[in-house]
Amino acid sequence: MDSGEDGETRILSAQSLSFQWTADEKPVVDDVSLDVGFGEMVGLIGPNGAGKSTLLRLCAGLLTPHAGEVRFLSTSLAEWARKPLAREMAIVPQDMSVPFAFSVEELVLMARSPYKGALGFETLEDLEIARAALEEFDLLQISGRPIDRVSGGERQRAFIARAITQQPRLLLCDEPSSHLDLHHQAKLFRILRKRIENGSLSVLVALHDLNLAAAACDRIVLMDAGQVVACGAPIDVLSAKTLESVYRTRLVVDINEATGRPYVLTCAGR
Amino acid sequence: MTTTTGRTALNRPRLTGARWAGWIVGLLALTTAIAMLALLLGVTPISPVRALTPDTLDQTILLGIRLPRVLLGLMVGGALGAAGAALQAILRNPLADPFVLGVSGGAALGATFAIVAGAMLTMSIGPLEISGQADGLAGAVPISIAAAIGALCSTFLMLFVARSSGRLEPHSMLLAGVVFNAFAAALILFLRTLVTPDQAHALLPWLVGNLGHRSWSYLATGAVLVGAGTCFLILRSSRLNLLSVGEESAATLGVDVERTRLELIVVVSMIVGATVSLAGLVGFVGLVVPHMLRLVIGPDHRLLILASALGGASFLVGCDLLSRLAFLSVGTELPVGVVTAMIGAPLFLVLLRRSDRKRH
Repeated sequence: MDSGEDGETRILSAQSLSFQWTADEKPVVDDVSLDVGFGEMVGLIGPNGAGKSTLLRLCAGLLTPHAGEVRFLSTSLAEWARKPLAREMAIVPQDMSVPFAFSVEELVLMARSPYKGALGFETLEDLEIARAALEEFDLLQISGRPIDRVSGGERQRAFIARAITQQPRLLLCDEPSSHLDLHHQAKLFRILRKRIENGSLSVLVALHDLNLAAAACDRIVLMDAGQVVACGAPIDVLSAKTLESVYRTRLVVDINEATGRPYVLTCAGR
Repeated sequence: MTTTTGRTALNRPRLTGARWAGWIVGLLALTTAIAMLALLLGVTPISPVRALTPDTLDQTILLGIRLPRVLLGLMVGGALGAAGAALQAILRNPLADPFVLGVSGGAALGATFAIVAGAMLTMSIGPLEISGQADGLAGAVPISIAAAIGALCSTFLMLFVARSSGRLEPHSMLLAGVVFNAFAAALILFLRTLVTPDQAHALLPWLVGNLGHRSWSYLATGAVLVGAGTCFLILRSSRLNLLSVGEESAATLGVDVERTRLELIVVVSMIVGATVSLAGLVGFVGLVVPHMLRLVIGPDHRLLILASALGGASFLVGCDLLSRLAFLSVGTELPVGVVTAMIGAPLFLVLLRRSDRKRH
């Protein structure tokens, strides 16, 4: 595992974060601490409304916590200016609505703007980086198509390709595979794992799909009602007892022989 | 959801320096051609040859009447085109237009307030010549400032009303604008009753957008405000691209969203204030022009802002030429604001219907 210049092993560290929308409401994120190490993929799971998206937005500096602090690359997030931060950290958002008909390629190329001046056109290097990402996510064929004329999965891949084109050291993903077919789900995590293994990327990813989280993540953080319920290796966090109490439903948990990781099945309809 | 209907819109080429230059040169040529026509055609057609000879009637008409009018049209149209395109990006609302959202209404209210206050002041302190037209440099600056302040206030009011739980609701935005326009019109009519009938009459043509006579000093003031504002929008066009995709998305791509948006709103209000003090309420230019251009050149603001400025300039001068020529036989002319509204309002309804269909 790679580490920072000063022996720091964490790229991102959130300490006792709390956030609430209004003073009289219950906190959406309640005293949460979380670390992401260099070259690590951390999965964020939990039921709807557990606070996963809010926690991700706090980590990206899009929301300011009412208590606690996020440190990124050993510096408090409050001290980062947006432009240098955008060269180190990218986010794959859950909301992918675009009101104007930018093409897939134009959307992906926007990722190069943290590296450019006010009016600059893309350099050949920018184009090459974007082209590689488009190719990696099977978007080359439709790169000139307006983003409102592609399928949900293609649009999601475009937003992922955009985040990759930003060349970040930390990638925050909010449900990056919610619209993807099985092939592209597997491919997405293969691409992310490849970058993680060579030490160029760390990932914090919120997922509903527990099996994807189990198979791809080094560590899993289970949230419920704004708090961290469990945190650790997939095999430790994904126990039937813990999950059944958090998700309030009957579950089957077993080990997938192919990966050696746990898998989770619901007993839906029963 | 690949449809065959939009086959032509598919695979639009990316914006390169060469494409950018091509479009700008083309639009410059179009603007120049329309401006030349507007200079030469009218109630009295002018011969270009005679106009170049000193002390002819042709030259007097050209330099004294037509040239200031065409320059005014270019300036106001260009400013409204660029401001409209920027406003649509800032608000992420393709239906945004300074007129529809009540920004122009606020500017008109601010300007009327300044004129009426000025008129009442003169009445009380003596015959200090301030006409309702508020011509001359002395009038131009305070009125432009009052108009810009009015525009800014109405923009913030509109944003306040349309923002619910941290999100801007596109349709609340339009409703707030319509209601504010009605309110501003009522207040303006009220303010008119406070001055003498002569002054009140002089206020009227200015409230229906028109490209009437303005002195050179007035034009120069407007040119500085509008030119500086439009240059600022062009410099921010890369950030407008990012903002138009979404605020959070822009923030994660390195934009200081709060600050950039505030700067842009102040500048757009200043531009709209300047246009209103120059030509009154000219509606829909900021809606029609960026829409038409987006269909052909795409949504990249690095080209769209400047293209909308050029397109708006040719559109408004063209509309003014149309209004002068179409009613030639009747011996009257239509205020240009009427022409732009006749073209813009139906288009707005078509776009509103289409955006509704997209939402459901």
